[in-house]
Amino acid sequence: MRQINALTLAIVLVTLPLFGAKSSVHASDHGAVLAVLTVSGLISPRAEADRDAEEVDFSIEDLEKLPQTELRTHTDWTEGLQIFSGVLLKDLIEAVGASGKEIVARALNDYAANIPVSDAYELSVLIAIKHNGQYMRIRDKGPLWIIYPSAQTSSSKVNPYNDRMVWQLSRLEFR
Amino acid sequence: MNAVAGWLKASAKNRTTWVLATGLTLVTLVLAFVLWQNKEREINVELLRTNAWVAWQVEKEYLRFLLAVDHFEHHGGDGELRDLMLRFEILYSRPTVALYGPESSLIRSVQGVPETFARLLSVLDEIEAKLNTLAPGDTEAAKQIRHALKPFESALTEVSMSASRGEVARQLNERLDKLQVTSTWLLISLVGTASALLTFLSFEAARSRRLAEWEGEQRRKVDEANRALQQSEARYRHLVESTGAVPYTLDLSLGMLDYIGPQAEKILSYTSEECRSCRDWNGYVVAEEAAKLSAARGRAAQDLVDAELEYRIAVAANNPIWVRDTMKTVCEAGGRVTGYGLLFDITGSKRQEQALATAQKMEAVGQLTGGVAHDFNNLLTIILGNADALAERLPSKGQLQPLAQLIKLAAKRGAELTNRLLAFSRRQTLDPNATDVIRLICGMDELLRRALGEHVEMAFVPGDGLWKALVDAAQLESAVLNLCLNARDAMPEGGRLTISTMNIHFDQEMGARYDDLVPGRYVMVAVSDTGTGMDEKTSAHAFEPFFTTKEVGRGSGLGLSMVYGFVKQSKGHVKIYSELGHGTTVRLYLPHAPGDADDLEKPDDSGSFAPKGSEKVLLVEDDDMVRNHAQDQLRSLGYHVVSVPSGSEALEVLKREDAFDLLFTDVVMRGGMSGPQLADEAKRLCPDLPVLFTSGYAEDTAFRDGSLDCGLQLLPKPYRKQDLAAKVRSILDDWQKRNLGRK
Repeated sequence: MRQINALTLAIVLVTLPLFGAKSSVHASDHGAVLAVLTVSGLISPRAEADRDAEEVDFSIEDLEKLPQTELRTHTDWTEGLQIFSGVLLKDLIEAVGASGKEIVARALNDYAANIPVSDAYELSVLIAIKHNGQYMRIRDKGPLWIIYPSAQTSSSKVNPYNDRMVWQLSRLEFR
Repeated sequence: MNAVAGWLKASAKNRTTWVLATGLTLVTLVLAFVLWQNKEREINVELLRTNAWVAWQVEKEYLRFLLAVDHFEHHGGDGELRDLMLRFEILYSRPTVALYGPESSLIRSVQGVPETFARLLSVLDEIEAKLNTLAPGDTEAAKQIRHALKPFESALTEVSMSASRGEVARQLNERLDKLQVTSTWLLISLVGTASALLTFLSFEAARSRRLAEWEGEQRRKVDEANRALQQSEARYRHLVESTGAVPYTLDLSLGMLDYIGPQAEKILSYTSEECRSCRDWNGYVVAEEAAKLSAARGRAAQDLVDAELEYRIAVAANNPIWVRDTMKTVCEAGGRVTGYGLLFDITGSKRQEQALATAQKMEAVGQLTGGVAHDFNNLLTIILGNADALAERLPSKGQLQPLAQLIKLAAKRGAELTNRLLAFSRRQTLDPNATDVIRLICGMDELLRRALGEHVEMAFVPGDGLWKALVDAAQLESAVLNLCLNARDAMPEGGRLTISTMNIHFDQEMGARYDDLVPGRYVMVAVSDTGTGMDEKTSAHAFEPFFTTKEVGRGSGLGLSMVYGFVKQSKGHVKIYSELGHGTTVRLYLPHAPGDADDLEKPDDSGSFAPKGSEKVLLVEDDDMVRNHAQDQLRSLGYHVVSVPSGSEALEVLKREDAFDLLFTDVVMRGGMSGPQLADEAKRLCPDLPVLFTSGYAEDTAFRDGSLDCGLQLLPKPYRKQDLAAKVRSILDDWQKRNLGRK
């Protein structure tokens, strides 16, 4: 299975640029094209080279270079306490110098959700890279999953942020 | 429940307000229910939307993957292969989410859907194995993949169709309908129950309020009526009580006593029950007046007139009470004739009237006699003085001398007469001293024996510890002599004369019965004879001067008058008790001398205590009223009493049943045997039976047969209950002691 996983990941990473925009830059300098997340819209990257770019692509490695945070929470798709780790949305906003009030988060399929930028600061929203210490496959809602922390352990009540917990995340557009 | 009732009662005053408030609450409840249903509907619509989306996503990714397969089959490059792999991954994630995600709970519950997804997943697993070895240009594998997925085309379309429309919506609606029906019914029943309860409670509250008001009104009316009745009843009761009368009602048609007040016991000495038991109290009325009473009542019953008359009721031996009976005759509604009457005890005023009349008469006679005697004394003085002078001056042997002596003698006799008259008129000079009566009488022994003659037997029974009397000794001597001479004259055939002395303590009760006697201590001197006796009429006039039953010339008629005058002047009292044919007793009650050594004696102590017992007593008494009275007194002391009216019946009882502890008999009984004779006969039957005699006169005549040594005892009439109790008890105690000694 591990072989398959590795292969799948490789395929995914190779395939991603196909969906990218015309002028995009990579967050890292090295040439391997392994972008998993494209950030666009009202952004102003710090790096001099990227300053005029309309989009910034992040690979897993790129994301792992940003400050890492671990979040223990429950979700409606899982059972029991889950450990997610990855980049806080606000750290990513910092990294790309994003402005604007709203983020349109798109998944690998056609799903999209609007996320107010304020959520990033008020709710410590995480862009998860690892779930329980493992990278996530696409079929496991990977490779990236927006996680809203929830205090509820198990409840008949549906988490009000379920709409915004976009999985198979591939694009963030600041507006 | 009480709290609710209380709240309802309190708010019942402002019913409109709270009915309005309750109505508002109900309307709010209904509105809230409708809103909640709408909200529920919205949630359900949202749920339906997300479910449809999830189902559609499965089908969409399925179609995209097939598109990617087509691309790969026709172009077969690396890019197509990568795209194929990505599409596969995304497709793989969709059924997983649909099977386990929170947004797809509805489609999962549609029959067949979970199975379809599970089958799709297993097919995808097979496809994955092929993809792992897929190389660009491998069109055969692509065909196989398409073939494997072909069956899901219609199944997935159906799933997404049912999710968006039919099945899921139906499920949802069913759930909603069930919820709505249940909750609607719940609401209806809730509202219904609440309004029914409310209506009921409000009616109940109103009804109970009306009921309480009505009850209060009734109770107030009844209370008022009761209070008025009680006041009226109390007013009349107090009024009647204030008169000291005995109220009664009498059924005149039947001659039956309906009711007699409890005062009867105190005033008539008969309880209400006793009065009722003899139909009315006719049975207690003194015989000669019963006819008068019956006549008055008969007239009242017939002519419906009120009756008012005075008559005597026998309440105890010897002293009937006078009553005034005023009766109003009323013809009742039922035709019954009822007499409403009051009995007033007028004994006191009657007796006072009589005593006053007697006293006034005696006073008048005394003044008259005294005046005459005084003036006559003056004349006698002149006559006597002149006769003396004549006798001195006439020659002693002269012819006229005897005439002068005759005048002197006559004048001296006249002087004696006037002295007696003066004694009666209480104008003689008395020298009262503490006198030892026993010594005085003993000193007269020789004189009396000579005066009485041989055919009269004389006995002296001195009382124990006799007090000294405060009297003029010489006058007492003359009084006793007078009484003895009277007694002698009453016994022309001879007989027995007894002088006895005794201490008497008159309490209020006894004092009242003895007319105007002042309560206190007295020394009694009694002179009894067994002579002819007097009738009532004679004894009533016995003290009047010049009243005599003796032949003309045998007595002056002044003997008893002198005694009366002397005793009254000495602040004492005289009492005659006589039975015609049996004898007479005259008792002198002389005031006792204060400072006497015997003062230490306290006769009251023995008087106030009435010892009781439970022995069996045989009571013999010929007088019905006295017998009943004695029987009641003995029974009230606890004794078991059998009473008979004659000696012969007493003997029969004794023969029939023994075990009597005491024979209590009258001495003198009309016809048949006397008390002593009965005692002798009884001794023969029961040698140990103690006997107590009672007699109204001649205390010691009972013992003329010399049977005193047999231990016979006498209780003089009239006696008080305490005397009776003490005497009976002491005899029984002595007898028991003797019996013990014998054993």
